[in-house]
Amino acid sequence: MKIIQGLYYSKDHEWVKVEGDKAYIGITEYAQHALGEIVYVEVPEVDDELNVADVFGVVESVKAASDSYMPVSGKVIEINEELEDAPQLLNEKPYESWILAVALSDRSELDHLMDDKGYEAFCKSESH
Amino acid sequence: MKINILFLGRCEYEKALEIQYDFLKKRQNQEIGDTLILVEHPSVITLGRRAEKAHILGSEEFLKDKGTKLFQINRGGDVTYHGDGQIVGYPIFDLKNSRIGIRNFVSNLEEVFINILKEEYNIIAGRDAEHTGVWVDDKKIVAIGLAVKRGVTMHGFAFNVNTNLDHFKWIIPCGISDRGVTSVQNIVGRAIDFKHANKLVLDYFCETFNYENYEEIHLNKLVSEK
Repeated sequence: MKIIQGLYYSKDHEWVKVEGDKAYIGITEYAQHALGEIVYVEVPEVDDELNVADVFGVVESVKAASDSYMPVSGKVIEINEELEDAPQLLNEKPYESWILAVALSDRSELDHLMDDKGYEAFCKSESH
Repeated sequence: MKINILFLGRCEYEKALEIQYDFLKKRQNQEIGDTLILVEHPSVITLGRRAEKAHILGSEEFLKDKGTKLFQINRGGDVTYHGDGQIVGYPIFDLKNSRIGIRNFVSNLEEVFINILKEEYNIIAGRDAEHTGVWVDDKKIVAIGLAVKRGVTMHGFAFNVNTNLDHFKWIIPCGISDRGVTSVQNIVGRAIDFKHANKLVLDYFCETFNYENYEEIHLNKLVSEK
């Protein structure tokens, strides 16, 4: 299971990549594997203000529409439009295919996320 | 481990949807265990999140004449039809608790019906690499469409037992135009004992998902316990 150093991870299997005050959010290798072939991604609008744990979108795979939750709070500043026509990128390159980018509103929320080592241990505990 | 089973019998779509949301919330809050709701809906057409209205062939006027309502809902998948003689199941199932992902959950659901069809009706059914559901040759016998909210599933499956297949002509099922639909009745050439078929769905569901037993629950009892 591929896990990248330098990213933050949530218990909902999302990754957060921080660049200054900007955070890119995507789903992990573990998540894409559990979901199966992704056929559709519904994303929020630019300028939406989202709080941690809010639903930011829906990922559809195997005829199941799964809600996705914000790992951090912030205002949406960018959406990865490539995913509209090529949602399978989330399966193929989960760590390169960010879904949205937000302007972090509270950096201290990052402290509640895991680092790569913590996430690796969490994944092991999740899969028995 | 046991599962709760709620037999709703013949029940309007909107009423069952309300019950689903109630159970979903209770399951998310860990107030109840995993629950399977089995129901038969009077004629209704539902559209998933990505459904195209163009996949409904009957005009709204025509469908209204037939007593068929339309519902836009939050499940995955496209357009589907529910009606008499079809077993609809809504598993309110905590994926996080069971530690299986949605891909495996759906694969297990498909297995439930592949096994029932084989063991009980001598019908060879299988999966399709591209299209979720259970297929007999190129005809769909079980449709699947789910939503996952805070790790708990809702919506579910529709198993054509004695369904009037003519009613599928009102839509392009799941938006797939070059495939058909079938039912157990259509394949074996006689009407199937519907009550027994419901029991089979429950038994095979328990077996496939490793529940040792089930407990039947009743709506009025749940309400009075509040």
